[in-house]
Amino acid sequence: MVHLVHLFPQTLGLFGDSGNVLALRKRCEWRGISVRVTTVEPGELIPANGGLYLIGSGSSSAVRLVGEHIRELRDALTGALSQDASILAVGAGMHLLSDGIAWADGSRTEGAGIITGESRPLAQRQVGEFVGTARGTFVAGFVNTGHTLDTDLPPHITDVSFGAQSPTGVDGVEFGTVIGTHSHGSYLPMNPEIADDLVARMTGTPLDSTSEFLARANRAAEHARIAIRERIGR
Amino acid sequence: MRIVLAVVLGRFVRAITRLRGGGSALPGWVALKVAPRFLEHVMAGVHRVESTPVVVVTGSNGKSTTTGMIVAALEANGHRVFSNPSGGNLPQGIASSMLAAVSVTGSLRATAIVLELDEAYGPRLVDIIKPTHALLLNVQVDQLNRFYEPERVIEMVTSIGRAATVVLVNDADDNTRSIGNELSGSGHEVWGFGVADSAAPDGVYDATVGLQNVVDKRHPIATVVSVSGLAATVSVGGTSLDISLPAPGVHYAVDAAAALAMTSLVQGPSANLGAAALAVSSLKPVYGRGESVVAFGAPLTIIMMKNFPSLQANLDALTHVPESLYLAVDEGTPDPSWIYDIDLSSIDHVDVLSGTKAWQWETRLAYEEIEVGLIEPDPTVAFAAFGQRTTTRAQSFRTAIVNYEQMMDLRRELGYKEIEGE
Repeated sequence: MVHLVHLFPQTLGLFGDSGNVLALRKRCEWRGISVRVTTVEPGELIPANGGLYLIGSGSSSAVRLVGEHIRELRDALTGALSQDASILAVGAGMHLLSDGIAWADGSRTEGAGIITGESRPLAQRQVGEFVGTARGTFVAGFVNTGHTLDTDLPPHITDVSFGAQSPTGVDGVEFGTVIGTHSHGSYLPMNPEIADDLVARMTGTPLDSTSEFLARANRAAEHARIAIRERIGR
Repeated sequence: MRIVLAVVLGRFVRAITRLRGGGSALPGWVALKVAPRFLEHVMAGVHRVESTPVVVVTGSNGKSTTTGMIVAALEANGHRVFSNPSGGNLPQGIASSMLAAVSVTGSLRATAIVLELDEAYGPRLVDIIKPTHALLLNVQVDQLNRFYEPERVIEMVTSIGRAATVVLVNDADDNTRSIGNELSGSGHEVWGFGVADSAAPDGVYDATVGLQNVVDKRHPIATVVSVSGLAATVSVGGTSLDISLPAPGVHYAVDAAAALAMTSLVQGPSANLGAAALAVSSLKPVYGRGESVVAFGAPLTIIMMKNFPSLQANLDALTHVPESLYLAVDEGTPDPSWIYDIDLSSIDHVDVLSGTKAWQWETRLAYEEIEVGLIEPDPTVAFAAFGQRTTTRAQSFRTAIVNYEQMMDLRRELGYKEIEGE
């Protein structure tokens, strides 16, 4: 059985982050793998026995709110990682797992310290569709962030491009069993190879991909990514 | 002289754009180019008559509908009202509508002004408009590619409210309730309206931003008591009023409650609320919002996919599963990630899926195991196919879920010549 722990969906779910949970759940169910999803809001007890912990995107006041419970988050996730659990942290969720978040007004929110690095405000907000490469596959999505992460950790996505005119860059972090990215909301539905990597880590066995439902979702996701690539001219 | 020239030139452009069926903001743009202080000049004339109420309406959703309702209610109470028709809520849009209503010297003939204001432009426009009354409808998750996060919208809506003497807020929305609390602490006369829990079991889809200062609800002027299809009951000051809504849904009933509450504030004890309720009930849906048009010789209901709260509220209000459904979304919705939060249990299939974002919707629908008949990114081809492939049996009408840009294209294609803002 696969156990997904969705951290703070009410508080950190600004950009349709529930889509990541939906993609993982359905891709398990279509393969006959039983799934359990536990949702936790700030202040509630975080289960220690999750296989994958998902934390999503949110506004600045939501980040400050979760920041008030950062010790519990740090303890729970440190414990889970020691049990070989995985983490997918998106947008504000990724920044909350860093060492700390600096704000434009000079204040700072302490992070969970899971991802070594500091989050700082961008002079200009980054908003738009992008394409890139993650784990050797073509990925695409949408970024809307006012913060960037200063870190020496390897990125999750390379060759990131927001358009033919803009220089390519990198996004997020990937180390051990932790993935962080600014690609929000529909990242896993639109990038099913990444979703399957996460599922395979939890089951420890090769995945059966013969379901017609999987084929439809994969084909739709591929067309959606190609449409983004064509739109931004890459 | 500049004003006269602006009015004459603006009206000339207006006449031409109307002939061509073009954009409605252009005449106002021309008037503002000729006389950059056109709006100031017209509003200064309005402000010289102290008794003229100047009402502004803002929020994430429901601005056009509610503005139309307030206009109807005040007209039923004897006012000659100047307003900006649906969608014309930017400076050039407001100037465009003024062109039709002013004398050559720029004097506006009206006893009440009701203006819909864009959240982002509103804070600057209120310096010119100097509202006496502000209606703050809601702060919901909307256009994050433009607004970035709801906190910024809260700031904008607060500063629009701060410009008025009398402020009416939606107490069912945590954000506008909190803004009301802040403004009443700074000397504003703040009133509330709301909705009974039993009438809105799923809430009002206000943006969750972790606000800490949500406290008391005011004793409401108007409350939505019940909603069933197009029939709603609104209680205003102890009087129960039956309203026929322009389209089904709690959100339209909330708009009606807001309009009746504002009428009561503007008119005071002399308000004829019965006449106001009757006038609100006679309104047709605002352009593309729950509107019924004719396509393929049968009615087609247009549901606008503007953002999460409005689409969800419209889906919640469906009384039947749509038998024939067309869904089209394009780059007017740059980031449709929020479709993953939408509860799709009120639809069981999509006949034709179109627009540049068609494959993102197909991905969403695939994960919900909702069948799609045809995916055709070109809307013209897709809509023609929709006509051929579908019947109008079960509900005797077809349904289209489209974003704003696709709604405009669809109406044009169906031969609806009038343009938004006219």
